Amino acid sequence: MARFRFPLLIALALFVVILALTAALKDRHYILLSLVLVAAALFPLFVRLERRALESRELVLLAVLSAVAAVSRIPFAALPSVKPVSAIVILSAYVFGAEAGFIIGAVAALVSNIYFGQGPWTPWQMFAWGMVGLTAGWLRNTRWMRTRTGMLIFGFIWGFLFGWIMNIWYIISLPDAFSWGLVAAAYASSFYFDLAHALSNVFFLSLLAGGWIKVLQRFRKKYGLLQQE
Amino acid sequence: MNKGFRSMHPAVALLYYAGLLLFAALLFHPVFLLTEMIGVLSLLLMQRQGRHLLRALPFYLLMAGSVAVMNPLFSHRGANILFYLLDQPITLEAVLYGVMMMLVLLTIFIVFRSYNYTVTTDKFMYLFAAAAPRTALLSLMAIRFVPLFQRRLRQITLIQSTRGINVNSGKLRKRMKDGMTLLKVLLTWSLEEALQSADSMKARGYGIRKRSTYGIYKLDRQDIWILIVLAVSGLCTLLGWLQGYAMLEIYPRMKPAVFSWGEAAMFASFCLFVLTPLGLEGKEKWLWRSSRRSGYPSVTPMKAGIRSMSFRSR
Amino acid sequence: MLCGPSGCGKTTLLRHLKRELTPVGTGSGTLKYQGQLLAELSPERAAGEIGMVFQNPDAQIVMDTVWHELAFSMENMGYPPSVMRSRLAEISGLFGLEPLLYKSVHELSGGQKQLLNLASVLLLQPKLLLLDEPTSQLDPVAAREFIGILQRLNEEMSMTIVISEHRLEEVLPLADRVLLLEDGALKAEGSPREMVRRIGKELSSSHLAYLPTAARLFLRLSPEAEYAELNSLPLTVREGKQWLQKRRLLETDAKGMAVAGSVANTGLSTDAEVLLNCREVTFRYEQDGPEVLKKLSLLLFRGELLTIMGGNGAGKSTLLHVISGLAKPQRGKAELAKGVSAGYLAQNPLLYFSQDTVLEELQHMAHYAGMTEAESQHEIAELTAIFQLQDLWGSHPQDISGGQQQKVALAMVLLLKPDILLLDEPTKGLDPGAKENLASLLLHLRSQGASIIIVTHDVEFAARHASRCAMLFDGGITAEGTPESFFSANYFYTTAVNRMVRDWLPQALTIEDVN
Repeated sequence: MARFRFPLLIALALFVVILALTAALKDRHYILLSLVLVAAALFPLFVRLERRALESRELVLLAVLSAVAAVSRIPFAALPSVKPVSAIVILSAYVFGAEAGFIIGAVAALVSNIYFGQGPWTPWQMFAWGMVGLTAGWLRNTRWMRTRTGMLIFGFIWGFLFGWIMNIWYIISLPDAFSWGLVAAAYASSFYFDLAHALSNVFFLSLLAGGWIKVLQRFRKKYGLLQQE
Repeated sequence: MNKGFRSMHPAVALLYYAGLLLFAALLFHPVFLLTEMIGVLSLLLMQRQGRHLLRALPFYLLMAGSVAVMNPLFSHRGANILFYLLDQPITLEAVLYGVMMMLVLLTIFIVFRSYNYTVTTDKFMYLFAAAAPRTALLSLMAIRFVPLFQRRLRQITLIQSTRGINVNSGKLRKRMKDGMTLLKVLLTWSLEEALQSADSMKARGYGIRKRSTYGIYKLDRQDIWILIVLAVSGLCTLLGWLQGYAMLEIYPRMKPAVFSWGEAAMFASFCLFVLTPLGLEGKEKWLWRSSRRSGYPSVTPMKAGIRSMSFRSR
Repeated sequence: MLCGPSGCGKTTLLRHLKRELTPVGTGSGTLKYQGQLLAELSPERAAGEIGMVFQNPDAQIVMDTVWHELAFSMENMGYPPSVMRSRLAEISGLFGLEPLLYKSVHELSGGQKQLLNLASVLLLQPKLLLLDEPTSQLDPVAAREFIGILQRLNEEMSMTIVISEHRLEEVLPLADRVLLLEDGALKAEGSPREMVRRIGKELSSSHLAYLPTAARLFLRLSPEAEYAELNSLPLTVREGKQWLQKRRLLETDAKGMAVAGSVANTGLSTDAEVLLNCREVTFRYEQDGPEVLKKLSLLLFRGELLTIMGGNGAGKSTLLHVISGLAKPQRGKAELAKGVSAGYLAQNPLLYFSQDTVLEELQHMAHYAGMTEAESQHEIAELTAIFQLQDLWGSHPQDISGGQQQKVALAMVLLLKPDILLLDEPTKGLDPGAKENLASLLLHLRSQGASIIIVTHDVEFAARHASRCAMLFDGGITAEGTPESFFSANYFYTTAVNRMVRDWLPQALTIEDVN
């Protein structure tokens, strides 16, 4: 059974992809296709995680940061859109790099949804938070991110981007009504939530940046964790 | 609390929910969608999850309802114009399409609600570990840390309040800042301790060779039978879909639904797929009731009990 | 068995024996396992045949449920499912883990967690078991159970065990060989009885702390100890009592034993000022939860050191929370006298730290206490001198040792200038030297007029340093009194010395009490 597992999985994935494509072409119905695309976007980075040599320390570090991010969501559950997760993911990526940032974001989304309930939004959240980490990690060596204001702006922008990504799965359920008007309406209706998210990102980042980066860097130095050449 | 459909092998549950999602996304036909929704709803009710569902229902209705409203406002296709709203034609077809999408979304939400109850984290990770062992390990570790960190955060909150750091008093800015200080204490402490976890992993041989997976789940005969039933009925339904059945054509003009023989056969196999777990659940309920009457509770094949015992005797 | 003060190199030595955990650094010399260089062992053998259990029960667990945690080590070794299943069945039977198998790990008690850690290591069927202070975080009942299992492994499976431990009373009599480490070097080595003789003969009195009570009593009472026959040296309470009986038969005259002249502790002085008055306090955590404290009444006088003892979950920590105002009782009142404040030191000092250096922690606390710059400098300097923290000012609070962390946290609490100090299990995990340090610190604080309440499992510490002891059971104080009256009234829950000599000297609690 174990020997056939991988081919079986690939066959299954291909099957779903073809189904989704057929469905999309046949009646312009994109729910399935969008899920397949999100999964495809998540796929390569998780494959890298599976393939690359990883010390137990690094693995535990990723788990701890994901769990802290997930736990930080719980006390703020009452306030919609106020999620310190984004800020924590950005800071972790800033210190530990793009790949780690992606994994932390995606796993935090997956794990926290065990408490908030899994739904069709789970892969989207994994994708969105993963991207937050990935981009923060890519930009971490630019002069822009090195400045405090740069990082705050970055957080602000992602507050909106996050909301927009989450809107996509809503919009694609109305393929037929797709028009700029619909997009505008969807984005206008989520504007205040996105703004709250963006502002809370700025706020958390401005509070966290100094102390947290120091803590994380201390651990990176102390134990030579996830050093990227 | 492991009984009925919930005590089946995770692969069965996964196939079932994957199929339900697939059909919810593929089959665009009110009869099929309603059947699926009602089937899953009754499963949830039989598992006594009605109360939980009720709590989440307003959110679901809001999300799905907004789709039904938005579609006719932005889509103006269709031949039958009902009325004009702000110079925009509102068509019957667009309204119907919106309602259909609402059904799709509602079905997906309810399927996920049932999924959350049936496929526990353990089961999901068991299956997940087959595909992505390291990701699964990482997620499991994070899952183990969450309750630990919650407890730590409570302790930290209590103790740090004796030095003036608390989130319940002062200005908003100070409160949020203190909240973050608490999280920082948690982070520092946990990272420090995590190094011991890493040592304990290493000490127990992590990373010296490819890991194997241990599962507490065993595929028994009933599981296999149900798997076969689900797979066959699911495939028949898919075949029907490829034939073009179960597709309600709304645009450009709604066609009256014709229920052909082929479509009826497809509907039958679809029903079989959706209702099989319900049958399992019902059968067990009935066995318990009848055993109580006859006074021989031990003759009932209680699945959970058998599984934990077979584990010991091996 | 390895013994020696904290920082003497016990952990470093153990980590060298476990190849995967060998500390980074420069080294020389060779380590051999079964005649083979440790470094040349195959990874499977190194990981499987040498098992290691650490101090902190929580930090070692990586999986979310008990069965998963147990399977983790076997999965690492790539065992096939059928092997895993049978080994799991075996070990669950041995440890009685079956009822816990499907539980989530955070529902377990500390003792159960440590058992789980041990079981998880044993599943690889190690030939050598390394244990680094495995019971230091456990309460006495759980610790005894854990040690009992180690004894069985050693006697019934003939497993080789290397353990570093501060809990000498139970472990030392079981050991075949005892190694005393000091400053990274082997100071002395031998069978437990040989060690007793050597320490009595040549080593300084500070090493006495590494002997069980019976042996210490023996050394104190028989000046001719160095000539005594090896087998006659007592290690356990039973042997100690037998020896005392024999001795009494030999010495028929009255000068045998007597209670030492004045017992150090002064009893209750009823005219002292009352600082705290708990009146019929009732507390529960949740509305429908059980009552943790039930109509508990308690008085505390100025200058006292009150120890509160009681089993696990008797509500000891809860009581301190209520007194310090961290928890509000539903009924009754914990009333502090006018102008009196209470300071609470939790079991885990890490909970107190949020800054980057020790000095910043202290300054932050002083600032919170409302001190001016000059005051705080003065206060911090004074506390630093008392606690000997000068060298730690610039260190990160997470980088210093556990004993030092406790001192820093205590200094932080003292910056609030509390009149009542509440300490939750302050002796947990401390080595004998650090315990004495703590005791003298507490004595100093008492001499300055502070009252102290300690909740603890440490009977010996309470008997030696308390001015009053109380027993918390079923949510209320069931017995209280001076240590002499309190412990002599107990039959099981009393000091080792008392258990040995109670037939002749019911009031004697510590070695110094017996002459």
